[in-house]
Formats: sequence, C-alpha cells, structure tokens
Amino acid sequence: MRVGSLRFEPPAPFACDEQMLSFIAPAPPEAAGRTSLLVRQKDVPAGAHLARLAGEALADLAQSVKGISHISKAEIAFDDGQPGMLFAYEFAARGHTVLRQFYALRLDGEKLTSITLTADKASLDDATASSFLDAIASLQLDPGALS
Amino acid sequence: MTRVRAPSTPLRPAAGQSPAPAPTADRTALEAELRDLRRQSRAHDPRGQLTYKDMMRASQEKAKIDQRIAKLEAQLASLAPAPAPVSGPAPRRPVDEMDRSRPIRTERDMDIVCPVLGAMVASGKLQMDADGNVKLSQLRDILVHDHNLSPIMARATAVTGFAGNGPLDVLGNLLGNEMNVLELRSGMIKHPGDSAILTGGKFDQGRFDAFVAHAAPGGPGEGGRMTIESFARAVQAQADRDQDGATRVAGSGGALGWILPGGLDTVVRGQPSAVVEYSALLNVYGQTDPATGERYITTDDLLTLYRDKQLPPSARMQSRPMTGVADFATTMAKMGYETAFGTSSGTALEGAERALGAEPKGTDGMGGAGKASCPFMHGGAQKAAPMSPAENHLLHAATS
Repeated sequence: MRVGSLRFEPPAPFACDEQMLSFIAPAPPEAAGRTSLLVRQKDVPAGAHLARLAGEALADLAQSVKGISHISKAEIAFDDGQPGMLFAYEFAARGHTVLRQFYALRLDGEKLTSITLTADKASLDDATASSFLDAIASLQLDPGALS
Repeated sequence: MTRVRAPSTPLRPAAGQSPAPAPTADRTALEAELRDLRRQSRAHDPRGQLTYKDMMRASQEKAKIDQRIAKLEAQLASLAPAPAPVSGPAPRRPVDEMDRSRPIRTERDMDIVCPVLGAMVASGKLQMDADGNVKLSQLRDILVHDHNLSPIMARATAVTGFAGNGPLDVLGNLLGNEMNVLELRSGMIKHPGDSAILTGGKFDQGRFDAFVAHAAPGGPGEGGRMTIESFARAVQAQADRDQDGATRVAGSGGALGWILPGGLDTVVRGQPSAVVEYSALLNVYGQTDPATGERYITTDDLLTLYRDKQLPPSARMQSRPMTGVADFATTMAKMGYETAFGTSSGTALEGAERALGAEPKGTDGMGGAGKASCPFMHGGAQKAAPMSPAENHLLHAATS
C-alpha cells in the first residue's frame, strides 16, 4: 500500500478506513503563523447524508472550539461536479492571533472527506482566500476508491 | 425612523353608514404602519444577505422592526371596537379586506413555552412581574433549595437565562440579572427538535401523545415511564419531524432559526438542546426504580407538568441525592448524544496548532493529530487509553 511517500503493508485482513494528510506553507512575511491544510478521509455508515454530517460537524465545532465566531456556510461544487459543504469561521488562538479556517466536506458513498485550511486572518487577502478555495475545490476521489 | 404610510386598502364605511369614528381612524393608521413594518421586516431577512457582516446587520435591524411589530399588534388588539352610529340604518361592519373578528394573539398571551418555568411561575415559587421578567438569582435559589441541584449545576442552568430572549436583550438581561419568560418563544434558546407541546401557545394534547408514545409500560397509577431510552427515541423522532420542511413545527427555530435553514438547525442546535433539556427533566424530576436502578419519569408527571403546570412534589426532589453536573453528563452520554463525525473540532484545533507552528505541550505533531482522530484523546485526558499494563510493557520492551 502506498500513501504519499510511504509504503506499508498492513497484515491481512486490515483495510484502510481512515486517512489523514497534512500540508504546511511557509508563513507570509507579516503573518503570525503558517498556513496549514489537513485532509482527512474516513468511512461513515451507509446512507449517511452530507447535510446531516455537516450539521453534526458544525455542532461539534460550535461547542468545542472556544471563541468560534463569524460562522458562515455555503454549498459548493468540487471540480468534478460533486456537491459539498463549506464552512468558514474564525477563532482566536495563542493570545490575539485570529485564525480564519475553511472547513469543507465531501461525501462519496460511504467515504467522507474533510479539508481544514487554517490561515492567519490578518494576512489573508481576497486573492489568497480565492486561491485557497480553488484548492479546496480541486479535491476529488480516486475513481478506484469506491470500487 | 419608521415612516407612516397611507394604507393601500383603507377602511371605508359601507353605504349608508356614518363616517368612521376616531378609534377606527387610529386603527387604520396603525394598520398602515404595521403593513409598512412587515414589508421592512421582509426586506431585512438575513438569509438574503451575502456576507456575515450584512447578515448580522440585517438581523439586528429585523429584530428592532419585529419588536415594533409586536407592540403594534398588541396595541391593535387592545383597541376598543368602533362605536355604533348614533342614528341611521342598522350598523354594519366596515368593508375591509382584513377580518378582525379574531383577536390578534401575541406571544405574551400564550403559555410560557418552557414547562418547568411555567410551573414555577404558576406555583408562585418564581415571581414574575407584569412584563414577564423573572430574577435569575431567584431561579437559582429554587434550583438549589427546592429542586436539590448542586450550586454549580444550578448556576450553570440559571445563567443560560441571559440568552433566553432575543439577541438585543442579552445585555439588558445581564445587567438586570433577569430574563423574560413570556418571550422565550422568540428567544435564542428556543430550538427545533423539541416536543413542541407548548410551542403553539397552549398545551397540545396531540404533540404530548406523540412525545409519550415512546414511553415504556409503567406501574400502577403511573401511566407510562419515560426512561433514557424513551427520551432518546423521542429526540430522534422530533429531529426527524423538524428536519423535514413538510412536517417542521412553525416557529420552532426561535431567534436563531434563520442561521441554519433547511433542517440543519435541527441537527446543530435542536438535538443537543433537547438532550440537555430531557436530561435535566429526568435527573431533577424523575424517580429511580428500586429494583433495576433505572431512572424514569412517569407520563402522568409529565402531563401534570406540561398541561397543569404543576411541579412534582418538593419532597421527592429533597429525598434523592443532590443532582450535579456529573449526573447530567452521564445521562446525556447514555441518551446517545454523540456526533457521527465528532472529531471536527479536534481537526480544527490541530490545524490551528500547525498554523501557529507550536506543537502541543512539547510532543511531536502527532499529539494534535491524535487528538483529531483518537476518541480517547479527543476532548482531553479524562478517558483512560485502552492499554493494559501487559501491553504497555511489551511496547516499551519493543522500543527500548
């Protein structure tokens, strides 16, 4: 099995039911921190609905992320046409640094994929945010993953 | 500033009648203003705004306008009917498109939507002034001394009252240490997914029957028994009802219902809120079966609470151990409240840790990743990791 730069052969009958990838970008000149990107995929029960999963995720965020504010949501379409849900919100961390986070969800059958993109709000201009959203929209599932 | 407009469909006397008397003219002006305000309210619907800032601004404006509408509606309802003409043919009602034969009901004419607060007020334990305001300090005292809640739990319960009314009322509630129990229906705590037994303004027998249909059989004179499992089934059924636009109970969303339309509000606020409320109901007013140790509340007690506004006897609450935060948390957990994708917050915090370039508490980056993916780490270290001493020894032997 190959995941990113890793090769690993799990013992039978193990099968991958969850994946998490982490990306990091250097900090912009005047930013308090770097920009991070987490992609996570896990199996969900058959018959799950994206709207319900997104609602549950938002409930968890609203209850667990201290100081979360400016929450907005949008229904989005990924580049391959698959619909998804995007949340954007802010919260303060490490003192006065306000982070802007984009949280997108995509459901393909029983595979739920989330993208969490975190950036220093002070350094986030419209062009950068737009490029981030373009990147989020590029998420697609390997056609063989559902077979 | 609100501009009073001439009515588009004025009241006009029917043929042969004397001119409209002064009260009718007042009514006409009020109705014209009401129509204008309703149009403004629709124009300030936050759902039509593109940005969060615009949504909040529109929401605040809409709340102000809606408050003015409520006052006007109450004013109209209180207006005396037009006096009969002194002479001429038999009096006839003026011709108008609006039927005023039914009085307009405002929220203040309805029952208190929270059965517990309603029963506290009805029993006289909680003093309500003419405007519907109650003191939260008094509520806290009742919870501690009469309901036998721990002081911490009582305080946590009472302070939610600050947010019980509309967004614009929070500051006033905080400063006055009070809340308005007559305006909870339009407040921020009102949520979809509840029983809706009192949402319509009066006790709804049909909704009550649907609620207690989930009860287990009870003993003699008990009706049925609503157990943790019963409440869990009721929560799910009510959530399913309000997620569907065709069956959603009108007005169930309160002041925040517009934020997450399309049934999402039921999942985000509705289900968790219902679990919290029913956990409180069960812990505070319930009984324990001595044979099985199972906690329950009888459907007869619920009927007395919702319909007759009577609390269970204080002696029952005083005779059980003090109810604290841990009891609530345990009941909520048993009621099955867990999110299917419950590590979203862990991922969010992990993203923050990585963005700020500091690893949590000197561990490597996977500490946060663990928090994001491991149910035993998520939410802190309250839960023990599932590792036996033998496994721990093997692990350390393998890595040393």
